[in-house]
Amino acid sequence: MTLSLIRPRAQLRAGPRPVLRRSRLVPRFVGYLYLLPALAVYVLFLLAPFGHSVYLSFFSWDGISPHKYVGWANYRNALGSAEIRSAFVHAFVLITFYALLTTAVALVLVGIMGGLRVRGLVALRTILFLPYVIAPVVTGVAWRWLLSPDGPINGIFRTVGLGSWARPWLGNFNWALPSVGLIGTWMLYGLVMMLLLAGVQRIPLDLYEAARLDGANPVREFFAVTLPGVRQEIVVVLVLSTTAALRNFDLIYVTTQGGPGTTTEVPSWMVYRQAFFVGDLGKASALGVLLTAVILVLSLLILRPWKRS
Amino acid sequence: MQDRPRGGPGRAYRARRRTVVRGIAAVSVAVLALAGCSSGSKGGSGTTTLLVQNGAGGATGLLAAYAKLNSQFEAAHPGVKIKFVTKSFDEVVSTAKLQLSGSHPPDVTQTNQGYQAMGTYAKAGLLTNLDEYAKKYNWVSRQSSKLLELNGHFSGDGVKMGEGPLWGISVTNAWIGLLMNKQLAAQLGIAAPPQTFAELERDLATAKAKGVVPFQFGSSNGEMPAWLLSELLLAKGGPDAVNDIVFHRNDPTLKSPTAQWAAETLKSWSDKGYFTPNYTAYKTDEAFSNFAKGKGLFDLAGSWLLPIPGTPEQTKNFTMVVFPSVSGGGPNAVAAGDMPWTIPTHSKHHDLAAEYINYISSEQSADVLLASGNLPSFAPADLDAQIAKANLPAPSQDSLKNGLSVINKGSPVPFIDWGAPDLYDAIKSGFESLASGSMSVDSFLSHLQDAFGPYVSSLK
Repeated sequence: MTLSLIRPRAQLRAGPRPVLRRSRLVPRFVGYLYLLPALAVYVLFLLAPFGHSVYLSFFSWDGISPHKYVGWANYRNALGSAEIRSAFVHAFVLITFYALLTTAVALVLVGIMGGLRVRGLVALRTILFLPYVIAPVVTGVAWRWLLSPDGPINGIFRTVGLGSWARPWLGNFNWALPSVGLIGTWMLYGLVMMLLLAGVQRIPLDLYEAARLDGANPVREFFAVTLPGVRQEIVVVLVLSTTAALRNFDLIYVTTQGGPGTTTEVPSWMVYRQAFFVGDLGKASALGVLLTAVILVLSLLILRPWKRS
Repeated sequence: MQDRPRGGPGRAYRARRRTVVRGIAAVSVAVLALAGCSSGSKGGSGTTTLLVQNGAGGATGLLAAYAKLNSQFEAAHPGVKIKFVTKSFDEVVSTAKLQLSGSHPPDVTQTNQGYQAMGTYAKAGLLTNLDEYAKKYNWVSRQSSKLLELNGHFSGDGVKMGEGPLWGISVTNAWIGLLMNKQLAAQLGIAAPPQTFAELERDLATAKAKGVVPFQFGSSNGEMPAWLLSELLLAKGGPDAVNDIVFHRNDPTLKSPTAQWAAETLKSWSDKGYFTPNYTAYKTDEAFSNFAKGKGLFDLAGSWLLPIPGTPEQTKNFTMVVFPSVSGGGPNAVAAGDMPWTIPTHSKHHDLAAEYINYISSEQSADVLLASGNLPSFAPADLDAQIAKANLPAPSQDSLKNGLSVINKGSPVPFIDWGAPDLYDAIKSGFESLASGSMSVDSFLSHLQDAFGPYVSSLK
């Protein structure tokens, strides 16, 4: 590149250029060759099954009998069902917890920890990260106990005289979904915090110095330097957590199984139910494809503004 | 006892509260299973290996009984070796389709009942018709026709449950009974378990008035609402009220007067506060363990949940009786076989497989099963002596005796949610909405009918 820049224009247009281009093309193909093993795995285990799901979504199939082509009926039924529509609404409610609340909590933690100059910071970070290491199923079981009617959380409320706040969190029509959301927040904030901290460590220290010289207090510093500095990390975090919220299955399975009533039914739970419980693989595939589409669209929406800048 | 909630087609996925997403593991498990199966049904030096697969994983007592039966069978059949593969209920159910349609299925396997399982496999020609073997070994004289219908008969087109050829036979059974705390009852002035539904309601009211939880209940995983609805339909309408729904007989509907009565009863029990406070937050086993701790006069339980935890001294005040009917007739209860034993079409040893099934369902096997606290399909002549020999806690003895009386003298009926795959979820979500008042009795019944009616028509 640098060589070509100092060449006279005329020379650039003439002779050597095609040669140059061809020689550049060769390594590019080699690059694809390097990709091949990973690509093969990706195609075999992700794209091909997904393509098969799309195919199955146009059929009525119980898993054994011959397929029966039904066109768009599975999609029409899915979109026409109030229960499935409300499952998507629940998923969006969960996004506010998984993505927005989690990121907010993690940002606050990052802000605090950025200013901390104490011993044992690494240990503190590790402890805060721990919830993410625990398998979601274990998290679910533990929180089911914590939130049970006679569990520790209600116990604390009763002890401090807030007995009226005690309730069957996961069995309450109004509180079950927010409770699951909060469990998800607890599960994810450690990861989000780590990603953001990694971003913070990349911010040049002189930016903070400059801000301090301008008389910024820690809060101002956070908004003026830290937050813009981790913009890219926030985008990654939002994509990850939104995806986690939309495909949330394990927590629902362990904590509420969609109840009480249908208040915590989410799309992935319904995919599971349709496929392995009702045995309608076509409808389950259609739901899965819809869910994938929603995740893709949301991810693109989150990624776009970042790309532009 | 069996660690096996009896449930409809596939419904045990959630009923068992397995913490792992089996579905995701299904394919890998199937691959492993197939690899395992293909690794030799013919051993060296002239021995024949019979590959037998069960879905009783976790049920220690039952597996011990089977181990004993297997060695007895091997002793009686020189040259035959049983390879007994134990899987969880979920694994057997979720891998069945792949396994049975593969070319190396087990020689004998447990297969789930219901339209989605046995019906579908029968239709696809994946199971062996056992009619000839049933005749040869006279299985009809061994088990009541009601049990055989419930667990093993299906029309070849997969449409009619309880009719057509025999595809499988259950060896052990489970039933839903009413647990009662006799000590609490005595304190409340209740002398004996209720004989009629009116007596039951009177006892519930007494308990409520005296500040005792009348009925331990948990709807969180949906089993108990489905059980209670089944028992209420049975109590009011008799066995046909449930059988018609499950077997799709006589233009079944869930908008019948019997169903109306059952729904109104559910609603009124909830309104009167008969259920555990905050029952939507509890699962079946949590309700059961609360009952075992002495909280609550009654509980509805599956016999596989027994024995009740505690020393014999602590548990002697509990009993398990048949849920009473409105008329006082009976004894009728929800009682179904454990997953029936079937022979896959691609089995390598059909006759030997049938001989094996014949052996484990025989009277002498019943003794072995009874001795380990399991409920066989028929009562041995010396039942009381056998039960005494098993040295079981008092409530478990009651459960065996009353369960056998339902199976042999009364009418065992299936779980109502076997009637249609969507019914279980509809009952769970609908019940909670009905009880909370966000759904009327009429819309609850419509909600159930929507999950049921279209499925029945779709099979025709």
